[in-house]
Amino acid sequence: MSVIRLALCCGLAVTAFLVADARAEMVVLESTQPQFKRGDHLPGDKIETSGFAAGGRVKVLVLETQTTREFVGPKMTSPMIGGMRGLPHKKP
Amino acid sequence: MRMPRRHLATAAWVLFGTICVMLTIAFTHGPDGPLNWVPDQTIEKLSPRSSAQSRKVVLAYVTDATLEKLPYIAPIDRQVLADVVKAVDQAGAAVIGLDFIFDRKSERPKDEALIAALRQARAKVVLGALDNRSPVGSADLGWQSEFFERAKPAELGHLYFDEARQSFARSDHVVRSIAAAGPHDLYQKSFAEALAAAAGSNALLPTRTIAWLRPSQNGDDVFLTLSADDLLGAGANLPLKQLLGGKIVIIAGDFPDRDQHFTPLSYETQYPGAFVHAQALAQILDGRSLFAPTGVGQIATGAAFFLLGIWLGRREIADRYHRAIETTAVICLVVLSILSFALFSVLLPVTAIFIGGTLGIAAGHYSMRKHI
Repeated sequence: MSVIRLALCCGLAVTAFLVADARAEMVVLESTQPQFKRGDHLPGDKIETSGFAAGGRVKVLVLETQTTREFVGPKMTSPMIGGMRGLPHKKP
Repeated sequence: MRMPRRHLATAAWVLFGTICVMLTIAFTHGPDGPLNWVPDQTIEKLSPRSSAQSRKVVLAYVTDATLEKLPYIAPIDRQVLADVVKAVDQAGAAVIGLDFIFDRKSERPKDEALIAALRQARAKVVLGALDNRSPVGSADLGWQSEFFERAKPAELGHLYFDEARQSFARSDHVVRSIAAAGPHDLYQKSFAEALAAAAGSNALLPTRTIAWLRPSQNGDDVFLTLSADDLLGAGANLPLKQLLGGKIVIIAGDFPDRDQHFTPLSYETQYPGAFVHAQALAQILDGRSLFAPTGVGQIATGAAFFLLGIWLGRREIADRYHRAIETTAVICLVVLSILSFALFSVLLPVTAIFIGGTLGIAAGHYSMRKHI
């Protein structure tokens, strides 16, 4: 009996976690990434940034907490050597 | 031919010293760097995080995108500013601050529209001001005064920041404090203090050094940050009343060519001036402070550690165990600087302590009779 109760509680907890995550929703405010357009509504409260271009950024409003958050891709410059990725080295 | 062991040790020390010097140069911005980078690193790593995004302060930026269909970007189109002020006011903001300089006329109907929007706002309006500290002509300051008289803001505050200025080193252009007003300066309150006053707080900045807030750990911005497009309905359809109702909204420009500043929080990122004002404002509202001794305070601290160094340098034990003592002193200095910041919000002048202490130990050591 206690095992069944334990299983039920675990199931409820997992469901609550999934529902809470699904309820979290973001609105894209600004984006330099083509896959995210301004005004898009996205589920969850995180964006996978590994596919972003160097220097790419997406700014969102998390509706549930009413906070703004910025997701950024890899940096274009290194603080140590100052190298640049994705941009021409010579100025025009 | 094998190198003698003592030469190997010397070579190792020379290599170690060279690496240390190269790392120091790499991590700092020249000989004056250590004066600032130790406190900056302390601030960047140990400043309090906002547990939740500031519930009181909102930043609303006019950007290049906002003005992309207009023929000019400077001065910022005042009809756009009037529309943004109206939108923020209709959303129920308690205080509206404009971090812009109004020292010249633009297009008359647009100037009039902005003045009307500011006068009719239900929220308290705070405007940023220039005074005799800026190299602007009396005609410009006169136009600014006239604009203020007609717009009738609740408060006015100067927009000046301060940088580390030393007689023997270049400024690194990192904003660490809000400028203090001199007795002859027209505007005594800073913009942040004026905003706080409009929000009902009579508190002033306890010290001029800004007590920074780091972003919260979940990645939220320190302050709710929107663009003017969002406020004007050109972007996403947002619940503006919920987002701005009862808050202090600072409307400012975020352009790559002006009013961008390095801060102790940024290694290579520059922040708009309004972000710095918002940090000072949040500090006033939260009752936080940060004390960083400057000038006489640094000299006095250095002198105290010079005397301590002389006393230590004259001890026989210091002569015998000098390596262990030096290592322990450096570790103690690091721990003390961390503790003083974390517990008492004081930035120890570590460079002055290090120089004073080292000179004192050397002076004490060589003043002993056996060395004379």
